[in-house]
Amino acid sequence: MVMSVFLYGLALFLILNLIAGLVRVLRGPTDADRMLAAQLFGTTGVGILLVLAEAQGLAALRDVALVFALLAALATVAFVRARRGPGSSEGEAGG
Amino acid sequence: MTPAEVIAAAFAVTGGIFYLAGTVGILRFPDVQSRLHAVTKADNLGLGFLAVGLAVLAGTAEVAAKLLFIWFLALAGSATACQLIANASVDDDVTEREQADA
Amino acid sequence: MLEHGVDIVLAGSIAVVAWRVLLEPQLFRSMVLFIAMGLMLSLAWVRLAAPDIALAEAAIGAGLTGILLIRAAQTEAAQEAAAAAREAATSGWRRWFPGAGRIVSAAAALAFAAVLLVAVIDLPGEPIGLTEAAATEMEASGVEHPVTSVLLNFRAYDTWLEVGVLLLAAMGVLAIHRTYNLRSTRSEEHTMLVLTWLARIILPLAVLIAGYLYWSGTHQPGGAFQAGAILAAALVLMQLAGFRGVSGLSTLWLGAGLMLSFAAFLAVGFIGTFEGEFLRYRHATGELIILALELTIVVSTAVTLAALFAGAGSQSGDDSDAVRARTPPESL
Repeated sequence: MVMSVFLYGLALFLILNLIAGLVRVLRGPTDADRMLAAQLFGTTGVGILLVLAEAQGLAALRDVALVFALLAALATVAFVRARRGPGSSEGEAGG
Repeated sequence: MTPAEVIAAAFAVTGGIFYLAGTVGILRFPDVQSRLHAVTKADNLGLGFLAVGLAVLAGTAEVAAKLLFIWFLALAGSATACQLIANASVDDDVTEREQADA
Repeated sequence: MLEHGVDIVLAGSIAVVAWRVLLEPQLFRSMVLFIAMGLMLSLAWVRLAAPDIALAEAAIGAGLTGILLIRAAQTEAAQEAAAAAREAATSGWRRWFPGAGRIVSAAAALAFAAVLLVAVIDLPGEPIGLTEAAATEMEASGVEHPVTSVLLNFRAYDTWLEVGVLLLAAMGVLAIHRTYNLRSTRSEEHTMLVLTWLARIILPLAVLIAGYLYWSGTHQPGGAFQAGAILAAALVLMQLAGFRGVSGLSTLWLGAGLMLSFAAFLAVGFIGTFEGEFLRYRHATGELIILALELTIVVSTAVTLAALFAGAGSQSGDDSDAVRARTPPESL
């Protein structure tokens, strides 16, 4: 009982951390800052899932955390590649 | 609470403190390069402590191995993302300076 | 007590983030918020004790959709469309009615919300449906996990058509490119050491985890679509790291990968007609057929999603794109 309250409290605390990270997405100032915030969501999300797996007694949630951890860096990779790829480095006259 | 639960809770709380440090860091540090430290170091340490705590709580070797594996994946992903974002932000700085010079 | 706190904070923040995603004028900010929303939705499914959907949301919503958006937004067509939308918002008849579009869509959304509210209030107190019928027939389905037995046996028709939707999407990408394979799409010219390193770690583990999810789908949350999405993410990572990935496939192999699952369902369906009904499996062979069909879903989902990503990064139509993909960029 005590443990259940503790785990849900911990999950709530981590969710509040995640929401605080949203402020960095809005403030920026650069896109790299925003991508960094997305990376924070990944780490925090994995933590929340692991805590909830224990709290709700659902072992399958660890698999969800596993998938998140596996794919966490993918968005950042796509972001960096989109900026530096040959398609975007061409100086076409815009506007 | 059993002794195991007390140990697990201590590890989990330590993890939570590191998560908090990471969040404060990403909000308060002055530039991207500094903020990288907050996310890729503090948060991953937080996840590590959390994983150890939850492994103690679950008490089986299978779960403990899975939690460590998840932590390893998160570390690999974070380390790579850190490198990539750092590179991108350095490029940004150079472009800005070039524009200022021109 | 605290679990209600978790639910309330989660539900509230999903609504706020969704609102910001829609109204955010800056494209990239909106995309990162969308990725965050995918994570929050996944947590919401977790709280609703639906780990199957949480898994799908984790693999597709937070993983693949985000990178598809980032890739697509980078194309010139997307930039032009965004500029044209801004232009259209301040010209023509809209100049005389600023915010007209927003008022119309807000009214439509409110009307829809009202209909939903009435529907929810009208719900009967007692749950009706096929839960009980499905539970009693479970044993006959060939697998032990209820979600899988519904998807691959009781409602195999639906799943077949969903596979068809995926196939149509991939055909759309190929049609836009006016080609039968993705060899002309953009590939990465320079390798980055750190990405090669990541790919070497992630790729074998992705295959391992996809296989695990595919296999565990018969008796616990997991399944073919989730496994396919993870393999697709691995193929995308390959491509981003500078390997050929799905754009290295010839027309024959790409086509085979895209169509495999649809064709397999069709074949199983026709065999079923000999036993009196389309897509009916004999009980004794149910598990084998389900496992085989799921394997085709894994392959087709992986190839299709990876093809969507490969197709999203390059321009439509003309041949200049194919040329550009082969010419090394001078400026670097």
